[in-house]
Amino acid sequence: MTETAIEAEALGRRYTRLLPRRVNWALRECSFSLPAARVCAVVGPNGAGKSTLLALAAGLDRPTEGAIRVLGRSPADARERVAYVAQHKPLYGQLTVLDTLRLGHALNPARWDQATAERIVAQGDLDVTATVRSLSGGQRTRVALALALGKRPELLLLDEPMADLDPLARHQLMGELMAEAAEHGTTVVMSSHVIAELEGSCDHLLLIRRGRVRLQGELEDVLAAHALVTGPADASLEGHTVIESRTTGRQVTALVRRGGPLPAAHEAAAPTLEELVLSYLREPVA
Amino acid sequence: MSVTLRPPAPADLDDAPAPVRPPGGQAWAVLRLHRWALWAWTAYVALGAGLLLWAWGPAVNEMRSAVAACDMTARVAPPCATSVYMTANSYQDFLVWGFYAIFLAPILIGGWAAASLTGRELETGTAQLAWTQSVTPTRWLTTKLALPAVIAAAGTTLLLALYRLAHLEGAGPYRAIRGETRSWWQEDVFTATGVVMVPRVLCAVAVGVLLGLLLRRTLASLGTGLALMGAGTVAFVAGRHLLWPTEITYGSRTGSPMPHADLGHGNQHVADGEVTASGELVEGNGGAADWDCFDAARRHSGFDADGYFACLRKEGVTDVWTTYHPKSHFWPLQLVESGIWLAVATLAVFLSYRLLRDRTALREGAA
Repeated sequence: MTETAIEAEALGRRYTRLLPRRVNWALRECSFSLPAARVCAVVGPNGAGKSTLLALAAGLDRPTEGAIRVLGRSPADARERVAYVAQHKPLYGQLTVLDTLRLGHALNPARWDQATAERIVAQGDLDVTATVRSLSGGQRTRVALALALGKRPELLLLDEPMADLDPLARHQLMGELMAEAAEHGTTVVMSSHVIAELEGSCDHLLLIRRGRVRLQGELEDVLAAHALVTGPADASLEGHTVIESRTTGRQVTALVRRGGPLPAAHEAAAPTLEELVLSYLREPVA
Repeated sequence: MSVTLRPPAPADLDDAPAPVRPPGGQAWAVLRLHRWALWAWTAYVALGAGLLLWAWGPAVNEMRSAVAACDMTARVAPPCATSVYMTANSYQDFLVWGFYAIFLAPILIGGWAAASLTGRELETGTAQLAWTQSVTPTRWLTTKLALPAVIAAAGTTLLLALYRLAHLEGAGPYRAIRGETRSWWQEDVFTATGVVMVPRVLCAVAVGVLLGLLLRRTLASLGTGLALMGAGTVAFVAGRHLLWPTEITYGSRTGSPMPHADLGHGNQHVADGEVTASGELVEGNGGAADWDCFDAARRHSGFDADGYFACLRKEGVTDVWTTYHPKSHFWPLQLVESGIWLAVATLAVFLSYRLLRDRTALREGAA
């Protein structure tokens, strides 16, 4: 297996509307590399370009500039080894759950793993003879995931996979997903704006904001590189990159990217993933 | 097919091979997704076939027995003639209904293909689902084009064959009753006994698929597909005579003041008019000069053609003309029209592949 799951180089995607003319860069100058056999989280606010990025990786779109490589090849050539679940979980409403799995078999004859797909579906306690149209949001997500995992992908791209699930279903499905991924060494790249669902499950972070990569790296490294410091407002934080700071009276609380040992006047604490991500998202745009 | 799934497999069975099922492949997938459309098309063809079979069998037999039972050669029509005419009308009605089934098929197919084959897939996002499976988007498009095209063409060919049967079978008795059959250039006979319908349905599938890809909306694609195929059909009904050079005949050569009236049922009249002194052909017939001369040339003994043309020359008209398509133009007209439908279909297919290629990732080395 290749070391890198997705590699992007100066990747950009521009959308042009003809009337009235409007040019919008959904992604611009994105360079990053996501390691294989990991669970990578792509986080960012709505409209940051997460979906565009995943669609490009899935071969559903073409970059306007730059390049993206998936499992060491072009997205079109990696198609067989990649599974993708779009944000709205598109499925054929007129098919039954059984026929949906059969469709997966028919369209992936060389790779299809019926047992895995059936297992995912069976854990959901749903009527497999029901049409997909009649399923609830959570059941639909489950079928979409079953279809994706039945392909035995080396790379699984999930766009907001848990967005329309209740917390219980989210927890359960995430657990099953992680178990499947761990068992087969599948790389999972998922976008989300629910940071809580990523904590504890992902080990690599890619933070996108306004179409650009703001932060990337192994989650542990990223967290270790930052500190949440509290200290007197007049003390200098020179040498450190202040991502966000808040002054309360004479105290200042700041999230900084460490540039060396922190000043003694400050109390330092390790930020949580949520604190870290929120700070980056609130950071004023330069 | 089993309706219950096995409980979650125990861990030691995880590596067991998946139960082998017949790999239906993409053809199965397309047929399964469009199962209702397939049934609807089957019912449609069955209905059309039923009408035509009725015309071919019972309706023709009724005509035959009615003709046999009634002496139609008498100078004064006998009382039984009414029922004989009714059998001919009934036969013709079934044939015309069968013709409508054939005639409307490409329009309906165009709307369906646009809405269901591609428009809906792009609107609901299921195209993204299909394009991220192991088959390439190009293969997906190929199946979506080829399978419906084959099924549509097969159904249409069946209807055409049955129409032909009924048309040929009934021609004898019908002519015996009505004196003549419908002519080759009339819309029903021209389209239903020729080959143009097959290219038309192929074009409907191709144009529909392209429209769906372009518009990405179910309803918009449905409406546009129906409208475009309808407009194309109407355009050929109205303008088909322009597709092949016409024959021309002049009044002076045949000694006829109204050559268009002498064409007969077997030729398709296209246009007529006068030849001016300068040799120019002017379209439009029945001008004041023609009529005055026509009236003047009528004699008890017959029509004085020489006098008529002499009179016309005095009015500055040297001759009268008519253009028409003789029966020998049936196949040229069929082939030119078919060629146009096929050319449009080819263009639509090409553009569809092009569009799909531009929208999805490129394969390595394909740039």
